[in-house]
Amino acid sequence: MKKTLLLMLMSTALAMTNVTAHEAHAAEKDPVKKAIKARQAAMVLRSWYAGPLFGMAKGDIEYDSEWASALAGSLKAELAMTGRGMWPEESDYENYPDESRSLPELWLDPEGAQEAGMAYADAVNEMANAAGEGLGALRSAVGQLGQSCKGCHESYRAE
Amino acid sequence: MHQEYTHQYIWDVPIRVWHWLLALSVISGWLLGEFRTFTIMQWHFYAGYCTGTLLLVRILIGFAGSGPVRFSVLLPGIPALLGYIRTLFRREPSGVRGHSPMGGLATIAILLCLLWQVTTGLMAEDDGLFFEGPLASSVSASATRTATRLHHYGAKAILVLFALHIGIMVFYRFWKRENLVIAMITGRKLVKRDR
Repeated sequence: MKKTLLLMLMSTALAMTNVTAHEAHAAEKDPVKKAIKARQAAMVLRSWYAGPLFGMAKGDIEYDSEWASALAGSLKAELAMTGRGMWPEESDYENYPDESRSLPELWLDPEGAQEAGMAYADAVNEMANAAGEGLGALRSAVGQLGQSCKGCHESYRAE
Repeated sequence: MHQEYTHQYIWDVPIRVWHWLLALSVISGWLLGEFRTFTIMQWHFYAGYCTGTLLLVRILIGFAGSGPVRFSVLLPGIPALLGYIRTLFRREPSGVRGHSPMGGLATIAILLCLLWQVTTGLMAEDDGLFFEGPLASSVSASATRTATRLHHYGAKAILVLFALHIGIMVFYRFWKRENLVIAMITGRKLVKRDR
């Protein structure tokens, strides 16, 4: 009797674990949410590499030309990664308020979005040339890079 | 008409200096924030610290000071406020020894708005320029996001209050024939004789 009860309890617990694991996995099955996660991962990486460059320009971190070059090179490498499929229609803040902060304007104004993306690419290329060339060069490149990040956030990201 | 009025010394030196320092730090802070770049962002922070310090000083003055600058005098009663609104469009100076009931209310509204702005600014961030307020790292990411949003709303509210402030100075100057700007420079204001 005791054994049966224990068995029942164990199987119930196992089944519940299974259900929970399944639900957690199911949350990522939505292809739109997957795309949102992918593009946000790209954004996290950009921020990760850009952060120390801004820190050096501010004087919070000591300037290190080798590290600065490597960081800028990483930003440039990320530019080469394809973003195709990361921005499906209706993957915006209004349809996915818990997942996305991208405003519908991003899709309504493709020219503007393209321009913003180009400004970022230009700034990253500029940074890749400047980062290792001394603190002065880094500072002016950081100014341009910051402006391109801010510009796009202000126009196309929910507050 | 001016015979029933006399120029009285109302605004003492500290409050006048305080007012113009606040004007300077709010205007520069607003412009530095609105047109922020990586290069000037630090100056926006300095302007915010100045504004915050001035607000703390004003809070002390409001409780411990004397005369027309006290919060207890500035916060009008409803009857006084309604009474003043009824006479607002008369073409004569208010004649009050200090702020009119509406002026007092406006002063408190401006102080609260600026307090809101400084507080949210301490926790806000611009993650495009990689700048964050000194308290942003001590609060949660969602609190920082909320503070940033509220800080941006605050900037719009400040612009509205600023426009109202200037508009009302113009209204007093040309409709009510009283120059309140000069009063805040010299400290001397038109006061009704019988008061």
